[in-house]
Amino acid sequence: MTNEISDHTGQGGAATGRGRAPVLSVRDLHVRYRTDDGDVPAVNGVSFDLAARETYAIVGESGCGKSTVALSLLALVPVSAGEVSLGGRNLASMRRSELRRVRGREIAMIFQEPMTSLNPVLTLGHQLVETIRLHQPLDRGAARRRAIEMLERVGISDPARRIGQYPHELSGGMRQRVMIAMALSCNPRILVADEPTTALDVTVQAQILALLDDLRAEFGTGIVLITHDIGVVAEMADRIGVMYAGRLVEEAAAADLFSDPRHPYTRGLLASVPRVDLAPRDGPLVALPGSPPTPGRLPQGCAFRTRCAQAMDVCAKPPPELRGADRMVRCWLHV
Amino acid sequence: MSDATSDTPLLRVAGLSQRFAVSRDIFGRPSQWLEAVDRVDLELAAGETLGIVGESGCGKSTLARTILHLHRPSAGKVIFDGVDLGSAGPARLRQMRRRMQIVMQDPYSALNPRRTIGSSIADGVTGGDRRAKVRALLEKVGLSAGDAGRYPNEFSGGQRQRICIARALGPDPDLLIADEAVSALDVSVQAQILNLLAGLRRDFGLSFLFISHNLAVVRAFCDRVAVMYLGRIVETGPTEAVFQDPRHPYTRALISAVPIPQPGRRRERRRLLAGDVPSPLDPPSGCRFRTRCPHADEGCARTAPVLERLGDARQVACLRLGTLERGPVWAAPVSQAEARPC
Ligand SMILES: Nc1ncnc2c1ncn2[C@@H]1O[C@H](COP(=O)(O)OP(=O)(O)OP(=O)(O)O)[C@@H](O)[C@H]1O
Ligand SMILES: Nc1ncnc2c1ncn2[C@@H]1O[C@H](COP(=O)(O)OP(=O)(O)OP(=O)(O)O)[C@@H](O)[C@H]1O
Ligand SMILES: [Mg+2]
Ligand SMILES: [Mg+2]
Repeated sequence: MTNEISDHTGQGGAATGRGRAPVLSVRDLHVRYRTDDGDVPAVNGVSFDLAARETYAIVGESGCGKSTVALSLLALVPVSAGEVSLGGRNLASMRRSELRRVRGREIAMIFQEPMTSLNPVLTLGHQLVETIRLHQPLDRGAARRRAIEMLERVGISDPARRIGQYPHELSGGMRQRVMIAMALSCNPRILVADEPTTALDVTVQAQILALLDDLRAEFGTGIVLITHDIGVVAEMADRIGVMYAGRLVEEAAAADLFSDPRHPYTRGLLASVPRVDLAPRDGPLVALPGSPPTPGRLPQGCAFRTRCAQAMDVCAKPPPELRGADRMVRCWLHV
Repeated sequence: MSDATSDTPLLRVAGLSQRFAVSRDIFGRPSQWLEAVDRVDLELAAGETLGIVGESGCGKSTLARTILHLHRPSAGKVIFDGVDLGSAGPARLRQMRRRMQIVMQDPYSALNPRRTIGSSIADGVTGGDRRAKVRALLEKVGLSAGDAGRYPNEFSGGQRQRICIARALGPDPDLLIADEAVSALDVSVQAQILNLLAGLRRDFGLSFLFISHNLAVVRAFCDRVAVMYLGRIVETGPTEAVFQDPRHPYTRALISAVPIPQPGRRRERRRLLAGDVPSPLDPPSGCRFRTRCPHADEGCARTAPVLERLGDARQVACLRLGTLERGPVWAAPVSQAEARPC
């Protein structure tokens, strides 16, 4: 009963509810990691849609499975059940060679720490040109021109000189720009950004967020934005999925989620964020008690009930997913 | 707090500088210096909380370590409860340091994985029944006395941060330096830890030096705030005065760059600061902020501004202060409901 998923044309899918075909659609995704200590059920039934030009944010506390969802969108982790489809084609049905083509050209990813995804011993130009030529039938000169153009587009000054530099010669903010340039160099339809600004200072974060927003508008890229920063979510997202213990517990348009959060977890999360733009209230900050459960040791039923002030007896049973009026919530208070 | 009265501060830092030799010539003599902290003055009264904010590399941690004399200052003084740490002998310094404890950012590397948390905490505890005191400390930080025999890997990040706080409280300090103590934690756990620290402040009159790059947390937690840029304090004052009417262009830019958790506000377009922080090895002449400052003129390249007192207990270091915009960076929300829906 928890996994009633309607097809792309039904009222179930979030983005499709507004009449556009999704460029990305995730249905009842499950991911388990195999470890020496047994299986870790990191993602336990996640469904969402992304429309072109849309920013869909996944937010939640550390360990809730955000990065695992991100990786599964590029088939970089083994999906144990459910499906991820790009433009109507299931990733799981693709051959290796086809997957390689899809990654980069249709869907690209940027990570939190750009240093780990750039090769330290190769120049930026080398890496950009290789990426471009992997996906586009361009000769070296044309690929180089395209690389310079992309670097310019992401706000790197003097790109013709920068292209000869190595990653360590750049600041963190510049490296993240290079990663964005690389990810967008083949004009993918979808960009997956996993904590793209978490390692950066706020002033540089503001630049990168503005850049992502501009590029989305210009190229029509759909963005899946993964972050634990509620402020970044409010700033960027069209739709938001709130994740807890491997599941989405609530999903809504950004304005609706913030003005009328329904799940007690969402309410607690939003209330515990201190505000830079308001004088603090007297008394203690609102704080959710406890911390998220470990995968594999989730409470029966609603995984949040052990921290929930409104938990009831019925919460020991899995809450049904309530979909309607363009939002979803998975909570016994809302059935 | 033997000789601290209301007008002698618990901590006074005067002209404190810290520079590091980053390269040496063939004779081993320093040939290039990095000025990580440059002539910092600050005061902290008993029971008061001072926030230190600024971007990565601006010198916040170096300032903390230099105050504790973990590095000898290159210049300047640190006076703690009337004692000049620079001229105190080793025994006296050790004794003073026990009263100034530090909690660091990373709760994972801060604890020895092979020792029970009880024995880590017991290290700092003196006299009397140490085991009873360890149990009391664990309870004070919201853990249970029975946790003393467990190892760090059995705890979550937030719990480990509580353990680090318990350990820092062992010697009954007067001053707690929190260096990004909540930065690695999720917001829910961050709020728990901040409430815990606020309780300690209330119950024991602890003073805090609260270092953070998270401005919202600083606004929620600190009485006063000092904003650092490339080793220097550019603005300092009572927290609400600074947040409601930031005067230094860097303070304004920093505050306006913080994303607001309220979608309606996102399009109140803020002024983006261009570029990154310049290399501290080759800081700009004059005002160090001038290369990113929208208001800089030629004068700013020639003269280094010093902190000047404004009326409201505030100090700002900016040559162009009189000509700049002021007032809140963010318009006031229309209603409280709009501001805080939950
Ligand atoms: N390669 C792996 N092997 C085993 N367990 C893993 C692996 N990667 C992640 N996990 C576990 O799966 C769960 C989800 O991890 P994931 O990285 O997706 O979380 P996250 O929401 O991205 O967290 P964070 O905010 O800390 O990045 C966690 O409990 C994590 O410990
Ligand atoms: N032991 C050292 N030797 C040489 N340079 C150092 C040393 N410690 C710090 N620095 C440099 O001093 C400057 C200030 O560093 P510090 O760690 O104090 O900054 P911070 O404000 O705490 O930054 P963050 O927010 O990243 O923690 C940086 O440029 C840093 O590289
Ligand atoms: Mg992650
Ligand atoms: Mg630091």
